Amino acid sequence: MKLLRTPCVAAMLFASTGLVAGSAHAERGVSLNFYGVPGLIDMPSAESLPDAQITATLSQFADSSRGTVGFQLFDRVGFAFRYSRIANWDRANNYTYFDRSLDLRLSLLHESRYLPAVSVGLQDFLGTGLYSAEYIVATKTFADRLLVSAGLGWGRLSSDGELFSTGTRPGTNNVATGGTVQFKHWFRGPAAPFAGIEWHASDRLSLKLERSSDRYTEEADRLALFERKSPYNFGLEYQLTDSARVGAYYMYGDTFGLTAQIQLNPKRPAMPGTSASAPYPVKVRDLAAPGARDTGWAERPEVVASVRSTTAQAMSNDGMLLESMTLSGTRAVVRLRNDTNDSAPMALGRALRALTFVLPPSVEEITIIPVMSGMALSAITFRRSDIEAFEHAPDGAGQILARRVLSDAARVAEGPADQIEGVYPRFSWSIQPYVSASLFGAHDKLLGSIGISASTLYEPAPGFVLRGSVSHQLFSRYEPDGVTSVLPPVRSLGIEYFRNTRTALDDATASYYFRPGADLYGRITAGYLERMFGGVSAEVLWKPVDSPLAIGAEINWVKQRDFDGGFGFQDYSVVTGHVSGYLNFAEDYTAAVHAGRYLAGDLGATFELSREFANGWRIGAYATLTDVPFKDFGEGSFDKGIVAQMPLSWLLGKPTRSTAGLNLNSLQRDGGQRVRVDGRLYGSVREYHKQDLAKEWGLFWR
Amino acid sequence: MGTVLAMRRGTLTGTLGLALLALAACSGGDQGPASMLSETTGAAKEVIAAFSGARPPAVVDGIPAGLTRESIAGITTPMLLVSVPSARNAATLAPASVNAGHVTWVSPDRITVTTRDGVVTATRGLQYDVLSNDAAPTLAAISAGGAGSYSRDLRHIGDDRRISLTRLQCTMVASGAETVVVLGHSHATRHFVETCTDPAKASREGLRNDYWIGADGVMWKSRQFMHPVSGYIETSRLIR
Repeated sequence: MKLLRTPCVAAMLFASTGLVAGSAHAERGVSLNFYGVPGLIDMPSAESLPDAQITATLSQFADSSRGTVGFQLFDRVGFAFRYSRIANWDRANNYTYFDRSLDLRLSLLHESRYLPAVSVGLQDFLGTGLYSAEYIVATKTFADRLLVSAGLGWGRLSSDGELFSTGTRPGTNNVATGGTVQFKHWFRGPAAPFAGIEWHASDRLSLKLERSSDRYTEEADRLALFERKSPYNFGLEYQLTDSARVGAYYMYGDTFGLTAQIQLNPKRPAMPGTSASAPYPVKVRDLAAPGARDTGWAERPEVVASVRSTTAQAMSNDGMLLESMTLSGTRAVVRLRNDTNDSAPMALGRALRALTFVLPPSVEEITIIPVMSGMALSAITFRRSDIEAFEHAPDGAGQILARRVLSDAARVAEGPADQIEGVYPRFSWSIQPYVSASLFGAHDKLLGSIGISASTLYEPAPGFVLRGSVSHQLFSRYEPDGVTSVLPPVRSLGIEYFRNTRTALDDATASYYFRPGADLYGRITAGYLERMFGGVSAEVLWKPVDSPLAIGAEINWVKQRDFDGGFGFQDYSVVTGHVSGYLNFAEDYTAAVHAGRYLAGDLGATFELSREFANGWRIGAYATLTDVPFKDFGEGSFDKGIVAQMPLSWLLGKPTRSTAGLNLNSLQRDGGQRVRVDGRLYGSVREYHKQDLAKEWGLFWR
Repeated sequence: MGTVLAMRRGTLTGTLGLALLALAACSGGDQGPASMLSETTGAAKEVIAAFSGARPPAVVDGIPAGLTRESIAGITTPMLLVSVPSARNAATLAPASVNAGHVTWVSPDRITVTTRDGVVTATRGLQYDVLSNDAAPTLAAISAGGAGSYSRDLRHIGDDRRISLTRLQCTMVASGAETVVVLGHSHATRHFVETCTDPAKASREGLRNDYWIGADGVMWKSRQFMHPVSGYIETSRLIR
């Protein structure tokens, strides 16, 4: 598992959730259990989380610690990923047992007036089976204060109090490598009932009581970590703020337990509202004035130069860079780079309003072409009369959307004289601290480093980008993995890159971005692409501006770099490549498939599903299946992971394009690995196309 | 413009947590994409400056301290006093532009309020803005002398950054002649009361807007509902 290098996002999130309260009346959400899913104490309940809810739970009792992160992917479908630790698993050898598990919950019924909520859950369906269980449970609320839950459990949740049996269940701990879905034993074997109640004593305080159907055969009987004197658990929970809750429990008649839970929702910002300042109001032309429609000014170079420089200034006031401007008597085409506003429609609206101030009255048609790394992403054309007419219309956003013309920018010609002087070459640098953490390595220890990284970016001309970064470790803790692999060690020796090297060249690349033709975007990158590989990468993407579908192809020739982070290479080289398909559907969701050849020479495909919210939050999961047999892959069986990205504007309330990213993936093995290249096209190109613009179009007039 | 006072923003308590990040990050060269760390340290610095630096003048009863009729005596351009009681903010604004009868007023710290014949149709730069408010039915009811019921659309940007539309059901009642005092000046006005409810909301709790309009149609004073979180906005026309 790895966390991407990022300043301490966790601290900020906890700090921000701590303030969302402040009111005497805390809003109580759905309570979570020791497994980090909606439930009582050790047992689940049928309550479902609000759509898009993100949860984090820490629980501890009798040497068992569990940390769970959950996400409600759809209204009725939720996932939870859990990392558990059981100390004193083998006292003689001082061995601690670590376990990763993944849960899936489905809400079959939402609670209604007469009917209870009903949910079905698969607990630990992808792991090595210590917590494997399935359940069906119903929950009903009485008088808004008392929740009663009752259900049936299979697997671990049927180890105490078996009621009946549905067939035989294959032994769950026999899976040598884990990571595969155990279809055959779902809802098979003994089934036992469980039940419990939750009482909301006050606004913030709740009491819980449950009868658990979990015998804790391993922990209580075999390991004697505690004594299971009774199946009843008691708990007390306190809602600290709208997002945070803590609990204390008396477990199984023998020992105490604690939990801490946090919930937040990307749809509800930590900093509500926005502190973006007001835009320029539209300057309405007086078309009746003499000479208003005169286009003669366009022939006079000093007037044109003056319009161009005031436009550049006005754009810069709104956080945008004017790269080029084509002016004629009635038409203006403006190429803009947006580095500040994280909302594309808001950037467009501001640019257009500022343009009504600087353009002579005869200019009626305005086209804005957003550019990124010198690539024109789309051409968005408006009539100035529409901007004037709909500025204050009640449904102004809808009206202007209907009259906007969105087309492929490759068809809009640009002359060399149109480029604004002094924009290129561009050079920037930064030095900042970094934190790089790796949890759950083969040792299941917290490894990583803290240090300083310096990076630079140089753009000599539109389309050409040179970047590089170097990092220096101040404090680090890395241990050799001792992992062996049947496949070429393309990633499994990853630790060696950090272990004995203080200062390293992270990446140094030269890239060229271009438009090969209509609806086509292209990239070529060469150099030290990432810490472990260098070489050449070329990519082409086909994406029409109004299409939810995109198709891409990428080919790379790479050589494995030396461990010491210098300029040298090892002997291993490989040609990798993929054909990719992307589909944006139901507004928020994107599904992607990448099929091709991976770094170890294996062939296969990666499947990704992600959800992108209008405010920029992105949460997704991926899995890669290749022709590497599971036993050759090693522990985990195949590569899979979760990605999350939080827009900083959500946390701070001010416009900014910065994001904080998190990538949790399974043990870094050698199967199904792609080379990491900065600047892959799809993510940037889509931002100014129809579907992504529609998400936040309401901000156009903001 | 004499003593034109800036509006104090809403509190930024959220970023207090970010004071933890005192790590310094340096960057230079042409303005490029900002790094996340420099963004957060920048925001933390703003908050610290706001708390430790000179505070904007206190606001008492919706009037910024130091604002008196004498202090604006020499000014002839129109001036609007706007206050948001829930945020204890107030500022004086001057007209910046006119478009189809909508006047956009701007404050020194670049907050704008747009009105049409005094009815607020948009705000920008407040923490909770009115995206758009349909003033036409309200103004029609006022010119008709107040009667009958009509519906009106109020739009905000929701938490998920999409437009949230509130369709209000309103009635306007002419409450009679009243004399209002705006910063020492008296004006004879007709008082109109607009009561609205949101049929989509289960609670059915209503809102009440008050308008005080002079004989020449100038809205001398008003109290208008703006946003479910920040509540009402009060306007007073200081200079015609």
